Amino acid sequence: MEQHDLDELLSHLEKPARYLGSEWNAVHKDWDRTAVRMAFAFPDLYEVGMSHLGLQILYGLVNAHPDYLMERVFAPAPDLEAELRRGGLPLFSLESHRPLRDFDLLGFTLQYELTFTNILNMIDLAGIPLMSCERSDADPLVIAGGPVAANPEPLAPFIDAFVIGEGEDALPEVLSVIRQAKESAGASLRARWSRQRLLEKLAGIPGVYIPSFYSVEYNKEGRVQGFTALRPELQSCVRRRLAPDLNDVFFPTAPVVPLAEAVHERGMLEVFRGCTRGCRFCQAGMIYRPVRERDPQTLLRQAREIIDKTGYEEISLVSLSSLDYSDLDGLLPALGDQCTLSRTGISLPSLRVDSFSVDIAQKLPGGRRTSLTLAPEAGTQRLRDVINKGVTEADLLEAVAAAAAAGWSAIKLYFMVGLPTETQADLEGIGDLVRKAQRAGRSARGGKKLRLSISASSFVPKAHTPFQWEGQLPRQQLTERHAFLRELVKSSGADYHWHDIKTSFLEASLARGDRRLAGVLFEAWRRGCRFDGWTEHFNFDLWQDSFRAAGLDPEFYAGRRLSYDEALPWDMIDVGIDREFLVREHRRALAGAATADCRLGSCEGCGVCPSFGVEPRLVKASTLDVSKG
Amino acid sequence: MPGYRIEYSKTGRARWLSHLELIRTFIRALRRSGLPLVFSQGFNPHPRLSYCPSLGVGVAGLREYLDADLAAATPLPEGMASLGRQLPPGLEIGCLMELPPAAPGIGKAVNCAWYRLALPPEQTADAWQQAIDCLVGGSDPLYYKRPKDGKLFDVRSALSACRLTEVGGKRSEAGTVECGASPGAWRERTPALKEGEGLGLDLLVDFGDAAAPLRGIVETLLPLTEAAGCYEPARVTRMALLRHNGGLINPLGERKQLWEA
Ligand code: SF4
Repeated sequence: MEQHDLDELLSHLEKPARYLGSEWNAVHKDWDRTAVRMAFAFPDLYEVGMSHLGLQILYGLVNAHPDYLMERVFAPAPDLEAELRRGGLPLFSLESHRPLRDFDLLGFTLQYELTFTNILNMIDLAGIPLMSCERSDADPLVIAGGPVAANPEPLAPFIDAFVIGEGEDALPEVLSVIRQAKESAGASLRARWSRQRLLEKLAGIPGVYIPSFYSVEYNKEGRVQGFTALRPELQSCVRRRLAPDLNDVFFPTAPVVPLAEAVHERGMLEVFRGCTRGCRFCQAGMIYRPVRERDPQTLLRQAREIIDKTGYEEISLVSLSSLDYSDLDGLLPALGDQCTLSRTGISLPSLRVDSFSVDIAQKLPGGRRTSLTLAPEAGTQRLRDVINKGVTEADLLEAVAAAAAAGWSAIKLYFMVGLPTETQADLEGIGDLVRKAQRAGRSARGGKKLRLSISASSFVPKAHTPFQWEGQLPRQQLTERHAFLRELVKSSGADYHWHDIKTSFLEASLARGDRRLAGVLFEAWRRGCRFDGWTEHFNFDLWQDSFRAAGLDPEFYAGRRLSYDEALPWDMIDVGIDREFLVREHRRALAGAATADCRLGSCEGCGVCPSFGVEPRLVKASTLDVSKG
Repeated sequence: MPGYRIEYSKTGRARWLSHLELIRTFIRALRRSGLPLVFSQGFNPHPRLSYCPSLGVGVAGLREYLDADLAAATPLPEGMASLGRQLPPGLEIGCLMELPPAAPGIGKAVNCAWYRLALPPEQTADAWQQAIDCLVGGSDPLYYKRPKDGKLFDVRSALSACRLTEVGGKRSEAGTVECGASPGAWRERTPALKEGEGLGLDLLVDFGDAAAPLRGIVETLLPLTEAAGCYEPARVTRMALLRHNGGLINPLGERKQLWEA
């Protein structure tokens, strides 16, 4: 885009800094001298996407390669979309402000189901046909990856290829195939190979799932009956990719520093990947197994570089449960020393519920902030055993007391409502916990009241978890339970915030969806749904119309309890966890039996390690026996 | 603890940064530069910096300023180079100077700004000149009502001087500057400009209580020419920040003529 046109466009926007592309550490490569050009598409606003580690990893990784180029694009805010549509302008990349159609491929990251309509919108604004089957050889390839690709089916007709699992190895392999496709194609052609041929080649890369190469069959009740690979050379299912040793993989120590203020502005240090605590509702805890820790020396070097190359005021340890790192004693003091001179703070995005964690958080430089969040998730020991959240009431009360004594004046407690087997007693248990926490806080603060706020979401069953067979409670019941809980919590003098129930309901219907939901997504997008995860944009009525128009019932997807022997829409995706393990975990959940974290020394037999021929990698290893798997 | 004043320009893509975005960008650039910043006390230490009056989003600035306290005396060329290397595109260091002890901060060192507005091409120089004469000629207040809160500003009293000029290429040699009786009141005759040239409007605008927003001044002026169009920030450049007090002086302590870069 010409500078003048860009200025004209920017002058109409509320936050032009979202679209400048001139951030510190942004990479501006020579377009004509790179063989393959990719646009990384984040289907949410700049401020959300720029806080995301996955973007920074792939951006750094691809741009480090001399033959490849990656630029960024985020979902256009409503004001930009209106300008683009009014002026008939195509959606453009940030770095070179080129139309997305000029790129060889467009890659979406899937972090949240409620960004799906933004994906359709971005494809459309790019001027690319929405459906994979309508695209020609002249159109860019549209791929997608990220955690939500663990069930890619609702997006299947819109995406040419999914990359399942960790992208650090798989994405360069995809780019290399595209380079081959383009070699000696001449200037007039996008590629020497037809689109079909390209997809066939891509299907040969482990972890790549081409939805159009599989057909899905449904039975007369409308359930998925199974799927068929349409080509003899295809594996029956696609196994996710995984990096066995994180010390060997690329990590971005010069991440792009946002210009428009992002949700989180901090250097991100990934101390490990994977979490084996085994919370039974948690998808991340299943699909990133096993635990793989980085060496302290690697982390210290990366932290030094991040501080020097970004100037960030804060470094955050962003793993799923960072304080589980096995060599905290070796890491934290050295990291603290490194941060002294530059006055860099160290933060933890989430705290484990115990006083040990609070003590550590308090000692971190810049670590004592105004508010602290703890997530007991459920109100009674019984229900916490069902979900395998290894937290006791004593843990929580000690953590609250420790935090209050250390000077925190506000604490946020996070709970989930509508968990499997939940009863009135479990909700009352939350009220009870809140009262006790209030008391513990007050006495630790010498009689001054602690500001407690309770944040409650609704349970959403997710694919590849032990609770994937469970249904979400009907909306009416969820509403009643939240209302009941709110009264209980308010009477104990704490604040109560709940996550919108309709939003959680839609999330549940998409999370366990099959291919037919693509019709609903199309209808919703056509009716103007965008940014559905944002309360101010979410329009549930339009979604209900869309389900009706597509002839589907959201309850069928969100609320139905599945049986162990039925086929699941996401069966073609193999994350490496044995189905038997998930069944066993589900049964143990219903029996209230806890399962230990394999970090502690004994393999619980989830199947991941033998599937991939890897082992958990702890820097201070307790001896681990994975033979049971 | 020596204080330093940084002169920089904000152009290109960086003109679209808001004041807060600019501040965060500078703080991080300073942190990367390794200059010995002085931090505030407390749990979240901030570097001790002060900024000049903010520029509107989209407006470019050629000579903008930032004061920073440093913990140790820093050689100027090295300091300038290390900060200069850390600035994203569109931000460039013009000059670094050590402030004399007890020098007024940047906030006190300026009380007016010289803006240049690139004029839309549809109108002739004569039409613009008439509009300017009409604007500066009268003495009654000429009000602009700010849409967001209805507050009234007197555009005439906020404007100290105004002239038509050429933009791009050679700057026009302006006519005689006539200082009015009261300090800060300049009047100027601009020599006629040839048709078809890129025209610009130079405005010397006061800060302070009477300060009318730039948008207000431009939107008051445009209808006087019957030109179509509205205030477009991307057409505006802040050429200089100055203090007038009989004469003009810039934040680096240099005396300047009116419309002198
Ligand atoms: S196979 Fe065993 S050791 Fe490996 S992640 Fe699963 S439970 Fe842990």
